[in-house]
Amino acid sequence: MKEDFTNATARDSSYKYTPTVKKIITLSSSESDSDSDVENNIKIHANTVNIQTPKCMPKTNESDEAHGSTPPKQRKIDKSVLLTSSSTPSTLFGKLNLLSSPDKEEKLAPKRLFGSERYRNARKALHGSVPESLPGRENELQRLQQFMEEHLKNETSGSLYVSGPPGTGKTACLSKLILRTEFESKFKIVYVNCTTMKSAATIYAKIIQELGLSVSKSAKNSKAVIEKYLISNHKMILLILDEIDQLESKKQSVLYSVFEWPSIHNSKLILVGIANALDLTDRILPRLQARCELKPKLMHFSPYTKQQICNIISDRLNEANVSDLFTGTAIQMLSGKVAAVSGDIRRALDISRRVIELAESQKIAQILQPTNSNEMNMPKKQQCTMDQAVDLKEVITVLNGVYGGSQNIEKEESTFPLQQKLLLCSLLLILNKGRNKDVTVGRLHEVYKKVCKKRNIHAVDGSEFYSLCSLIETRGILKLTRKKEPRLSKINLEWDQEELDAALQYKNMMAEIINDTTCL
Amino acid sequence: ETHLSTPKSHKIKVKHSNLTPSLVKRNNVPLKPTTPLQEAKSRLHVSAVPKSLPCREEEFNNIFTFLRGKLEDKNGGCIYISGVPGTGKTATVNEVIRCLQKLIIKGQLDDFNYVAINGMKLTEPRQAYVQILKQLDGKTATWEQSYHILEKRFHSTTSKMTLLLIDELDFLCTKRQDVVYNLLDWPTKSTAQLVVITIANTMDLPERVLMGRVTSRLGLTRLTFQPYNYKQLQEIVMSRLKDFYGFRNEAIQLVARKVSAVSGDARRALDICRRAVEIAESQSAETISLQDVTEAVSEMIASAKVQAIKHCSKMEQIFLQAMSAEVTRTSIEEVYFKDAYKQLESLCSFDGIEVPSVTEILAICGRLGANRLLICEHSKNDIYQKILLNVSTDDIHYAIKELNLN
Repeated sequence: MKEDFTNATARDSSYKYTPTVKKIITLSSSESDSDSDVENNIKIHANTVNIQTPKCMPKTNESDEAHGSTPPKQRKIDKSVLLTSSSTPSTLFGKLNLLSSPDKEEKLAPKRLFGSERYRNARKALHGSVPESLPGRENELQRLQQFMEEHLKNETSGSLYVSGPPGTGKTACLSKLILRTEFESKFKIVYVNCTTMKSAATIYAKIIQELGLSVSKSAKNSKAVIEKYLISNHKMILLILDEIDQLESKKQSVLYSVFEWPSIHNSKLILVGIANALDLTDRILPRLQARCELKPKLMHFSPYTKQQICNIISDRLNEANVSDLFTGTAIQMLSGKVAAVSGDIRRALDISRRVIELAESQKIAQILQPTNSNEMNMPKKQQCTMDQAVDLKEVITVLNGVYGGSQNIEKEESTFPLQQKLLLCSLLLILNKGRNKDVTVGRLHEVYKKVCKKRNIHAVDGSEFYSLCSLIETRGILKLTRKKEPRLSKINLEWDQEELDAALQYKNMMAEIINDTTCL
Repeated sequence: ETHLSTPKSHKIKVKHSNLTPSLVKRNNVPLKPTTPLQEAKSRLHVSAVPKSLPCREEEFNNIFTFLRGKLEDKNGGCIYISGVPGTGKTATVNEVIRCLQKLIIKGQLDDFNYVAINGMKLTEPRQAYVQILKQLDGKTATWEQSYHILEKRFHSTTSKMTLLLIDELDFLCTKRQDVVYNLLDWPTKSTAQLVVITIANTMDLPERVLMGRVTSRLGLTRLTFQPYNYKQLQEIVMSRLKDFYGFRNEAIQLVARKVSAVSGDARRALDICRRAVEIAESQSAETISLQDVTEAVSEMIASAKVQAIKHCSKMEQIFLQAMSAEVTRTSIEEVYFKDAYKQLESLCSFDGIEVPSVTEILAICGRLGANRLLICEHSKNDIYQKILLNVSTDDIHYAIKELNLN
């Protein structure tokens, strides 16, 4: 491959040269590292001209300074050097004079630089970590704040259980609250993520450590130390236990004692537990119901609605000043889909980030496409690369990739191995036409062998067949219930039968097999 | 400088990475491949990863742009890569990392730490912390200490980004899933500059095995490596062989087609090719013919069961026949030993052979069970034990009929 490439650049003109991004980057791995500075310099000029794209300018350094470039631009230019530096300087020198024209560089430089920066800003703005502001969670924030202020004013203890599906901003809300100065000064704040504990009982040691108490060895002792401290305390304690369901133990003794702390006489403790389950306190801590003072206050974070997701994304984009990168309908579509499936903001941000990445990579691919170096279509090209907002098309592409089901099988027609398709067809045959729907690997193998024999295809033997089943299992189409003997393992179809049926029936042979009752 | 040391001081040195583990060197210099066939064989070895991976350009590009973007943005993130074994997942990721490290040398990218762990190489999921710390700082500590050091590290802003590759993610999933949770929670901290690349076989692992909150943190940046089709396998083998023309084109195509029809596993295609070279070598031929490849394929893909039945003793074969007769009679797969014995009696009298005693047949049944032609229960149930054929009835007929014909 490498040889082909160099030949192409050396001999042919850039009309035939088709550098798509993927090829070039792969090639860069095999290039030599020992480039001297002089060589590099020559290559900058030679290669950039050779590709003939807005990205690659002759006399890069001067033009960059003139337009006040930022480091990333520089980097992009350097990249092109890296990408194509496998050709020899001497062959490329000739082209330098032939193709470089000064009027092009003025047109192209600023636009190219502008675009990549914006994509990057958008990507950064859509990060998944805890944000500065929490649009869509104003009510919850206020209620949390009220709860704490009330207890702070009255100097009473209280417990709160915050629930909600993943990615609804529970931890974000609380970590935002504990950063408030009035709370920070009046509370002693302890935040513990319970997944970091080895077992439920080690939570005591962790709390002691966080409170800065004298350390003792055994868990029983440490519990007593905490309780003693709670009574003798002068400052209110805010104890936040994240992912509290990890503290489940056999008799729930740890959870019970933790939830009993606020009701200890004279203790000044606000306990906040966070978890996903809506009814955790009722389900695993039923004894708390008996005494009203023990019962934690409940608070639920409902999944984000379409409008909220919409607002969050557009807010983030506005902050970064790149709001025109996404069209309104695209955001609507994206948030509608995510809200309908899960209402998880992490997902929404993830998808939007990927949409941006997709758009960016498409743009790069477009720029690196051979343009036939005609002056005629250059202006047109620039226009479409410049103001390319992400539209429905990109969003739908990403969404289908994420939530798409069996349509992937049709698409993968060429890469889905034939024997695995035959196996699936045999399974569908049994499920559709057979009397006994209970399928074991052994039974499926019998049918599969008959199918193969009839079609004159070499059938694989038992052990190979079993490994085929597990290969299909990795795609999530099947589920094997493993038994001691591979032959007795049960097979369940995980996908929607009709959908799979339809996907396979696109091909004649498969349709024939699915309806061939004689093989049963 | 040699001085005596107690085992303990030795251990401490190892613990603080003051001693690098070394292997005993061989006495004579390893031979270089001399003949073109040997050369081809060494190039076809699975471990000889080529400098550029053919047919994985798109995936390479995907991962490369993702990681480069993250490294330039100094943002944490996570990507999940899945695909059946032998589709080039780990090789592609390693290649991407190598390219990124080259960019560092060229000064186009800021330096980053690279840590790779493999779920299969850990005795216990929590050992992951130990491994990560060891690769970052060279210290060995217990997992609790390691965890706290790492936690501190990722909760404070560091100048360097860290890339963490987790291979075989499914082996890190325990019931509590605390390790996976922590590994995937660090990137979501704004201070932690950690990018996690996870690799597993199962496409829907996040939905199937992981808890909701872990799945949510894993995100939706996913990439699936499809099995190679025959053209791609062909290209892979050709690119390995480079200037060696001993392989006939149709021979490579045969291997590629055979493998792509079953699994699309590149390792397997390479193994078959290597075996074909070995066969050709043993016949001291210069080039690899189609026969060599066919032989290699049949060695690797073909079933040994028919051969096993052919080489059974006469009475074992009759017992297998009796089993298949009983299965066809009752059309239930599980057969009681006494019923099979009855069938055996009639078969024997048909052939005019003296019927062996029940104990003898039980011994035969045990032998067949041991080489997995049958699946039997405990033999303590005597004649009431249930037996199951582990080969298809067709195989039995085919093997025995061929014997009778000879």
